[in-house]
Amino acid sequence: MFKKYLAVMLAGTMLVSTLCLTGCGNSGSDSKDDKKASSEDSSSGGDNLAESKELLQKAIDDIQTTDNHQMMAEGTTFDVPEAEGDAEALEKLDDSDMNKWHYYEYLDWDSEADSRFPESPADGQKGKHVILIVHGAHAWTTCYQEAFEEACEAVGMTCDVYDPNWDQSTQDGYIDQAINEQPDAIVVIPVSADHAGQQFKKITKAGIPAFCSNTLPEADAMNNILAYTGPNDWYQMRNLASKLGEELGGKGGVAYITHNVGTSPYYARTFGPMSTLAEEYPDIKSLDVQSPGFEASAVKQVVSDWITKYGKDLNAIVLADDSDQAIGATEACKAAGREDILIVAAGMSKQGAELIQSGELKYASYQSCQADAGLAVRTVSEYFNGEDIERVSYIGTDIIGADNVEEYLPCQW
Amino acid sequence: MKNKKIKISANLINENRSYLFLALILIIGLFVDNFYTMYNISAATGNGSLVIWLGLGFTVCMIAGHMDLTIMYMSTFAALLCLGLHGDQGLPWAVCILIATLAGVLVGCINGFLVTKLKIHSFIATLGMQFVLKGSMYIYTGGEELSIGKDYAFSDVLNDTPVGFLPFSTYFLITTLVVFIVMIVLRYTRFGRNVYMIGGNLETAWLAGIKSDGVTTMAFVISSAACALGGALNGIYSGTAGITMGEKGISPLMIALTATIIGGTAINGGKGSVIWTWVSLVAIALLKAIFKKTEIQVLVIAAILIGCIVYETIALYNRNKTVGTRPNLHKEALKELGKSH
Repeated sequence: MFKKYLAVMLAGTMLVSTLCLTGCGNSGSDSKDDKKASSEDSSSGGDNLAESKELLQKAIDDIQTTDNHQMMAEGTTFDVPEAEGDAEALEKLDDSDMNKWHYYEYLDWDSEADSRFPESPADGQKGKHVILIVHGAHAWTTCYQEAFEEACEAVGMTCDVYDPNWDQSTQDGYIDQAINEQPDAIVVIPVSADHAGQQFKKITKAGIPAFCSNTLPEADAMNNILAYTGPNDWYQMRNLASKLGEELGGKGGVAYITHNVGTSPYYARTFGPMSTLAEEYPDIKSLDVQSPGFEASAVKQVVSDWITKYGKDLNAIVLADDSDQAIGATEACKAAGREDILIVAAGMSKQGAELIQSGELKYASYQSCQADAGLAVRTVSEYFNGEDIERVSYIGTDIIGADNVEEYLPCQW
Repeated sequence: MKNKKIKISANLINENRSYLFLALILIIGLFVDNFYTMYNISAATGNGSLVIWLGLGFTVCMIAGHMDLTIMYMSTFAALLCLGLHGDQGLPWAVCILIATLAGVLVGCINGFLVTKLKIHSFIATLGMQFVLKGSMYIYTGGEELSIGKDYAFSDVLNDTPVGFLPFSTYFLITTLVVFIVMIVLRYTRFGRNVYMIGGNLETAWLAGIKSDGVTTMAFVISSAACALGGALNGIYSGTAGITMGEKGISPLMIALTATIIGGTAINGGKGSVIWTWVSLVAIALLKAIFKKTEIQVLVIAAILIGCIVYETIALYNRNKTVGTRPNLHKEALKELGKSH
């Protein structure tokens, strides 16, 4: 019996090895060669680079988000301030200390440790194939994906989208599949900031340009990422906290509902506002931090418990999400007759806009999903056109309240 | 004569259905772009290795007539422990892996004790234990993921393909080696035969003088230790570990269970092989590289599982029809089979 197993295993292994070594069924590389040849043809005949630049400029000028803003607007950059100690020393500081979060907030990588990135072909983005690997199914993701596809089409690129449904190991599998398909570039929204380093290392090692979008990776991952584009979550949440502190008159108690634990929005949307309030308004106390997830009923339960426990000491709530979390929180406040509690959230969704209009949600940060996708496509295109690209660039932001919510309607998702 | 031929082919299908499943996937792969590349096969089997460790543990327990639902959390627990000890305490990888595996042995002993001494059904005992493990993980990590940081050296070794012409990573080769060792233990040692015996008929095993408690406990220890070792290696291989691993995609526990059944291991115990499970899980790992959409993967795996269950049900029905009519039918069939060869 053992001999039978061994014989079957050896035969199977040798068969698979032979097929791999001979490249049986490996038409992908042929198609890539064809694509390269056609790209060369078009560049020699019709100047693909000039045509690509023209297409990109037209897309930048013409494509609008559903709330009538420029979708492929230029990104903004920030200077990274000096850290007050190494990561290990800062980690020991209190959660409400701004310095503690330096290495979470800023992608302060060491350029000397950069991997060897593939050089730009500088022959134009037109005809290039990009694979987008998102983090998981959500209304936001659908909106992002559609905007990404629209932008790609407008600049003459083709794209495939893989959705791992928030599962880390599935996303790892998709990264491998994407590498195996040898596209011209891979754009990833990492499920986990901590795991991004290994994922991008694989892509860059395979000689494929790797771009990170939306979710902030760990700083070290930047050594394997050609460029990061996305929202400046820390900046927008700090602005939101400043506004909240002002509304509270510099005193009161604040509680926090977080994003999924361990993700980059978890840190930015919890400890960004918490440390800002501690710095700017020392009399404002942080009462509690809870992670009930994104179900309105679970959030309602947590907020109801807070109202019972803290009573009049609870003056404001900061939410990581302005849709289901906001619905749960506002319902709990209404049920307890505590409409005086100020609620602010990261946004912006249709539910969030409605709650702002009704006055139940005081402020939300503006984070354009479509501009996020547009900036990613713009950066990838500029790379293919041989232009200098920023290693980190952020989309624009704003604080939305009852006075300016009309400017951001209809909502993107 | 005609009937005999049908019986032979039915038996062949039943005993070799995992091989047929793998062959089917390999044939489909011929028509898929970039399937037979060193990178693809290496990545697919490497990514599928964790579930092979889970399948190994689950199969051993199932052959012994029990279920071990702790396998997934056991592997995650071990991965977190391994990465945590290396990152926080600075212990060498070998020591971290050893401690993680010993944690698996401990959990296996507790599971065995609950099942054999306290007479708690293995389903309930291991269900409870998996929540104990989950709670422990939350206390240990505070819900955060742990990663290997900048220490990629050993991770790269596990990811590399050590034998040039073989499209398999070191991690997958270690996994396969352990599966073969467990297969040899189950098939060629007294302990292994006792595992099959207590799974097949506990009363008979007792009458034969087998100390079923010890064998059962050992089956749980092998299961938990294998999952812990696999989990620790997987944490290093993938570079990270998180508590919610597998909770949002297709659950590794469900994949391991499905592959065990597809492979042909009997749900009631007494029959099965870790090699059958290994073959089924390799087939599922490669299937994921063919059908890229998660929804399609789930659908195809479910269709194959349903096919196997329907086949088993019909086979059982046919077997039961003959019970009592000709007591020596099985011997006769074997005799006929022998003649035909």
